Order: sequence, then C-alpha cells, then structure tokens
Amino acid sequence: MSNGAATRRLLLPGSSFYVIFFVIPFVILGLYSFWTQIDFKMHPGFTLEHYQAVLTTSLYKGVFLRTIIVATLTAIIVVPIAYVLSYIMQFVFPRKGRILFDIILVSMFSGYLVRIYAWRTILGKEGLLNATLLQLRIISKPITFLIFSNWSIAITLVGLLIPLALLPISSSMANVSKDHLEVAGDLGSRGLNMHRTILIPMVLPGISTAFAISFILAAGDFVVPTMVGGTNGVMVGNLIADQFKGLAPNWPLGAALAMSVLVVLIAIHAALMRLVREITRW
Amino acid sequence: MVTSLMLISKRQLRRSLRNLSPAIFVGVVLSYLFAPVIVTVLFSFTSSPRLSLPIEGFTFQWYESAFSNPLFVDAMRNTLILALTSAIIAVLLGTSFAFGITSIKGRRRKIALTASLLPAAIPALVLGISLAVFFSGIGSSQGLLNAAIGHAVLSLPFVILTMNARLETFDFTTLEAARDLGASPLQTFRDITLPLISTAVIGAGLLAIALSLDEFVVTWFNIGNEMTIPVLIWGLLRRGIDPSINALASVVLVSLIIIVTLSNRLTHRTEK
Amino acid sequence: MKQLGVEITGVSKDFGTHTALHDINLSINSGEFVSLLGPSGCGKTTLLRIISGFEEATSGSVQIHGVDVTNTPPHLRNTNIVFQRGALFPHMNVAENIGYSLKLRKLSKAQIAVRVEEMLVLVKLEGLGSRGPSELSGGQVQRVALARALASEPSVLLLDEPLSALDLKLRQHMQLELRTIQRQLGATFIYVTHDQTEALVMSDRIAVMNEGCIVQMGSPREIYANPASEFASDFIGETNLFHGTVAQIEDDSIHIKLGTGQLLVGRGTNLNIGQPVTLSVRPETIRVTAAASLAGSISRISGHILDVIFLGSRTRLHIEIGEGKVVLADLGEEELINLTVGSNVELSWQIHQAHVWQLESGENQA
Repeated sequence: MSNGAATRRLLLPGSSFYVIFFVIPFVILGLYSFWTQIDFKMHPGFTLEHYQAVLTTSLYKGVFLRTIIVATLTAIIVVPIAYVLSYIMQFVFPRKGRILFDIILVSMFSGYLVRIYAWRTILGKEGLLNATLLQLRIISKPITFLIFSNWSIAITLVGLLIPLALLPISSSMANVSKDHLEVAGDLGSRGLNMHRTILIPMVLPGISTAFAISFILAAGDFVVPTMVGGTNGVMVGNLIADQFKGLAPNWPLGAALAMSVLVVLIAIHAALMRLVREITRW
Repeated sequence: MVTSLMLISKRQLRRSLRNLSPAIFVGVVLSYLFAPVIVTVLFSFTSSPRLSLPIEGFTFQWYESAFSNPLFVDAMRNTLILALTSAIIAVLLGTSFAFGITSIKGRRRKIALTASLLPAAIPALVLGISLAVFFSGIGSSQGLLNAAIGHAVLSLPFVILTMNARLETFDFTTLEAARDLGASPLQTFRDITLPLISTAVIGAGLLAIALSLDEFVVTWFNIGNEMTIPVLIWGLLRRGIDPSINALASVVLVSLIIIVTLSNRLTHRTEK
Repeated sequence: MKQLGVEITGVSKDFGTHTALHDINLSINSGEFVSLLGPSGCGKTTLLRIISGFEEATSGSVQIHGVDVTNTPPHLRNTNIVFQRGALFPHMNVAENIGYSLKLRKLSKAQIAVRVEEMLVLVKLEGLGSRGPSELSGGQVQRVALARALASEPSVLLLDEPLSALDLKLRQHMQLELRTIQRQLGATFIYVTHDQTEALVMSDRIAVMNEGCIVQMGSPREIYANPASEFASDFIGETNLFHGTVAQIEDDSIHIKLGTGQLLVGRGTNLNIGQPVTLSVRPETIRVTAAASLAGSISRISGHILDVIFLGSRTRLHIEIGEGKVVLADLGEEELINLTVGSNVELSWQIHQAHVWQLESGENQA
C-alpha cells in the first residue's frame, strides 16, 4: 500500500484553513479597496477614489514618509545586531549558543503590549532613564527627544524585532560551518573583509528575510506609535487602524491604505536587497 | 617548566580578552531586550506612584487593585477560552500538516514550508483587518469565535515549524515495522506515532497558548465588545498611567515566560 | 515432498517513471533460505516489499503457503520483515519490542513473557529485556529486530540487508548465527543483499537479479560453477572476460576468435558462427605453464607474466596475452615453480570451465 497519497491528504485540513482564513480574507481586503462605504453599508463596485485619496492627501504623504523613515531606521539597526548576535552564538560561544538563543526567543514571547508600555515608562520625561541619569547627575535637565518621537518608536520596535530577525539569520548561518571560515582565513580573508566577502554573501537569504520581516512589521505597527509616539508620532498603522476602530470608520479607505503600504514596502525592500547584493560583490 | 606555565596562562588571558567584547555585546543586547520586563516587575511592587528610583516601599496593593477590577474576571475567562480553543485547533491542523509535508521532497517541500510561515511575516494589523472584513462579509458577528480563528491562524506557523523539526528526526520505518507486525493504521498511530510525538505536540501547544495569551491586535479588531486581558490592558493604558497595570502586566509576563520556557524544554528534549 | 512456501507468479512493478520488476517467477520452498542478490537498483528490495505487502504489484500474484495474498495488506499477512536499521520502537524496551506482535494478538501477559524469554534465548540476549534500544550495540539491535520478527512465528521471514550497517567481523559472525537460527527453526527466510559473499555463505539457493529480472536461480555452487550469463559470472566471484566472435562450433565446444587472432575454446548454447560473444573463465581454473606445448583437448594461449602478487592462500599472476589484455590466474604454491615476472607462459583450462554467451548477455530465468 503506497504511503505517499494517503500522507499527502493530511495537508488538506491545514491548507484549507489557511486558504479560507488567511488567503481569502486578504483577497477580500484587496477587493474592498475598490468599493465604497456609505452610512456604514458596503457598496460593491469599482472606484479608485480611495487610492486617489491616498496619493493626493498631504497628511497621508507625510505619514507615509515618516513610516518609511522609521521602518528603515529600525530595520537598519535590527539586522546588523541580529547578524552579530547570530555570529557570536554560532562561532564565538558555540557551546552556550543554544541557551542564548532560547533566552532571546523567550524575550520575544514575554508580552507585547506590556513591553511597549514599559518602554514608555523608561524613556519618558519623568521616566526611569531620566530619573536615574538626573540622580547620578550625568545630565541636569531631562532628555525629551527620547519620548514621543521617531526615536522612541524606533527604540521600542528594535527591542521587539531583534528576536524575530534572529530566526532567519541564524537558520541561514547554521548552514555555514566553521571549516568554511577557517579556509577563508587560510586564504587571506580575515576580520571585516571576511564578513563582507564570505559570510554575509553566504547568509544573504537569511539577512534578506530578516530585513523584510523587520521592515514590514515595523511599518505596519500601530500600537508602538500610539503608546510612545505621541500626537506627532502617527504612522501608517494608526491611519489604517483608525479607519476600522476610530470614530468615523471607512473600511474601503482603510483597505486601500493597507494595500498601498504593502506595495510600497515590497518595492522598497526589493530595491534595498539589490543594493546590498551590489555592495557585497567585490 | 615555570615559563611554560606562564605561557599557557598568557594564551588563556588573550582568549578571555578576545571573548570579552562579544560577551559585553551579548550582555548589552540581553539587558536591552529584558529591560522592559524587569522594569515592569520591579515597579509592580513599589508603593510610590511615581515611576523612578529608588524604590520606596514594597507593597502588594497594585496586585490587589488589579484583581479586584470587575472586568478582570471576564477578561481572564475569555483569555483562557481563546487560548485553549485556538491552541487545540492550531495543534490539530498544524500536526497533520507537518505529517503531510513529509510526503513532499525537495524544492516543493521548502516552498510549502515557507508558504506556511507567511502569517508571521505580515503585520498583525493587516491580518486583523482582513479577518474583520471577511467575517463581516460572511455574516459572522464579532466575538470570541472570530478571535479564536484569528489566534489559530497566527499560531499555525509556529506549530508547523515545531512539528516539522520533530518529524525530521522521526524514523518512519518504525511505523512500517508496526504495520508489518500486525498493527492496523489506527493501532500504529496509537502505539507508535503518538507516544513518540507527544512531547513535541505539547511543546507546540504551549507555544500556541502563549501566543494567544499575549495577542492583542488581531483580537482587538475581531472580538467586538468582549474582552481579553491584553484588550483590558490596552483600555487601561489609554486612560492613563495606572500602577496597577504593572501588576497585571507582571502576572502576564511571568506566566508567558514560564510557559515558553517549558515549551522550549519539551521541544528540545526530542531533538536529540 | 517439499511444502509450498512462497510462489511468485508473473510479478511486475511499474513505477510510472521506470519499471522496477519484469515478469518475475519464483518458487521458494518451505524451510528454505533464499537470497535475492544483485546490485542496487536491480529490484530486489521492491520484490521483497511486494512479498511483504508494502508495495502492490502492477501485475502478477503472490501466494504464501498456498494462499493468495496479492491483495492482502501487510498487517494481515503472515510475513515479518527485519529492517535494514532495525526500526526498533525507541519508546519501548527490548522485551516490549519483541512482545509487540503478541500484544496485538491479545495474548495474556504471562504468555507474552514466556515467548519473549524464548526469543531472547534464541538470539542470545538473555537478561537484556529491560534495556532500551538506545543502549544497544549495532549487533544487538539487529538481534532484537530478528527476535521481534520471529516472535509471532511468521510463515516467512523477510530480511532487508539487515547486516549492511555492521562492521566486517560482526557481519561474518551474524551471518553464521542467522543461518543457525534458520536451520533450528526450520523457517523460510528470504534475504536481500548486494554482497555476494554473504549470499554464498548463508543461502540454500540464490536468485541473482539485475535490472528487474531474475538472471539465474540456483544453489551457490551451481551459480558459481555454471553462471548463466556474463552478468552472473561477473557479479559472483571473480572471472576473466574475453570478447570475440564465434569461429567454429563443435559438438561439445565452441571456438572463439579474439581481436588479436588468438583462439579460445569453451562451452555455450544457441550460438551461430560470426556472433559476437563473451567467454568467461575463473582465475583458479586456469593452468599456467612455462611455454612448451601440452597435448589434449584443452585450449591454450600464450602470454608473458606482468606481475606476481602473493595473496596468502594463493598467488595471483597478471598475464598479458596481447593488445593490452591482462588475464588473472590464481595458483597454489606448488604450481609456481619457474614462473617469474617476464616469463613466457602458456595458459590452458578445461573446456567445461569456460562459459560462452552472446555479447550483451541475455538473461535466463531458472
């Protein structure tokens, strides 16, 4: 009795669930971006008015720009840190590497909302950081740029995303053995040069994924800007969330915003990856 | 003899120094990642309403006020229901999917695995709103059921990842041996397969529970007027700084850390 | 009267992309030790899996003890497999592994315990019942696998290269043990291997397989002395192969002409003058003498010795006979007198010890 066909049927329940509750809702969301909503009722049809609004409203443009800046900043900080961590865990402390990895993963699951709120208390004007620095007389006035600014958003996001970025990078790096690096060193490639010409190209798929995930998740977040971004720290995520949970919801507009964001993010990510590939070519 | 001893310790000294900067780096990153956790737990016990050092007094009052919040009981109950339901769904679907994947080889297998990890790579916001739109389209009103499905979608990638890792070291010829010795497919599953995957299944289930306990975004868009602990915390946070939030948050944090650590232990034990 | 054991009739297996088995016919007697011998990809494992029920034949039938089991699933057939790597259940100890088939048959705990003990004694693992599979050595794992497969007294025991993962000395020891156990129980064993020495040591009969067909079926002695094809002669034991064309056909011999013009003599059937053929003669059947003529109905060619290699129980000569062709001849101590590197020699053999077949060997089924 052949095992293959019967086993393959086991893919069905999971895949169907995915298709019904993940793929189809996404498609419907895309569809919605072309509909109109009047008095809380959906009107199917085809209109580009929402996309027009996205492209022309100056408020949106400003928010988009800030979102991209913050997301890029976050990803640019997160990915190198995750890369270095992964390198240390695999090659510098190989025996303790596994435990370190687990500890870092645990941090990822230790609460989302509450950690964001904690950063607020740490970074705020009367928060922990300022209070400590003031008491130690390192500064005489509280630092204010760290809260309710792009920086606070970035700092918080970085703390949330490092573990997530670590996953694809360390997975990619696991395919590189110490022998590869020793051979490289033998042939004259050491230190920074080794990383640039040998290791980074070898783990490029993992780096690319890590960058994509950090970038996209940072750009799509709305809780962090709400908590630590202040009134000027509005990002695209807030705009979208407002269309669904705000005072005057407009679902098609929210859908159009979401779709636009995704398109922009993917385009930027692709461009950046081209860039990296060029840099690591000697 | 003495000089060789001195040479040895010089080498060790150099190695320790070379390991120093990486060690410091790791230390800094770990502090950065866990600072919020430590701060929250620390300040859940302080008796001063201001959040600064030094800590003035030690008190349990914030815990008392958190638990006496009338909304707390409802939120707790809903949170547990969602966690158990979504975990069971995710484990059943994810485990069968992982078994199914073993029948595909090569590139197509990689593609299937990557595809199954997608929900973790897109912002929860997009997932939340697309589900809200979907459910309204099919006429399912917002509430626990919708939220449970959302949690299951989020947990599935992690369950599949865990079970797939377990199955890569699974000796499938033992199943043939059982069938050969006279076991029906059902008996084979009961006597051989199940005992050998049980630790991984529980580990994956715990992970799914942890994900669900902590989930806010997708829940918020799909649960309507009901409440879970994260939704409750969000509500409290919007209203302003309230130290009892730290107490609530600490409970959540510590529970999550315990659950995830347990899950890690279990899934590692089978990965020998 | 020999009891019906396993009857395989007209079995073919087509996997779509390639055909693994072509019209296999095989009769195995009850109580026989039969090996399926061949290189990887020859179909021997596929055939074994069809007998066990894990693969379905595309056509043909399988009968065990007179009962047609072609469509019976594995757990309802009375065959058990010993797997290549043992496939012991990691979460059960040795005794539980061995007793599993009995537990499925709902025997009582006491009955199971007795039988498990019998099996442990049979495979010489008494006292190890409570060990876990991870605590066993390679040889012990295979013994437990054997005990587990024999516990329920199957009609036929199937063994899928069970010793291939063990090192040489252990393998040789286990080969003899398997043979002993089989004789002791009077059971029918079907053994898959690619190792010809293994097949020769253990089997009552060997089925030599290549590319999905049975090339020859017979006792080890028969196959060695009278291989049915170039493949059979080359796969079992060592041999010298010569390619030439049929020059002359006599009543009891065939004369072959090589490219060098030399003539060789051997035995073959169904051949025509001018047909391209292969002649096979084994190193130990070649007589080597210093160049001087010998009378009698024996074939001879001349050459000179390239190399003399001492192999312990015999000495091997590498002899060049022309155009770069090197012949291997094995001689005992007494026959080596006056033969050194560079000597001119004449080679001869008994006609019936040289076999001739047409080139691109045709497969025979016994």
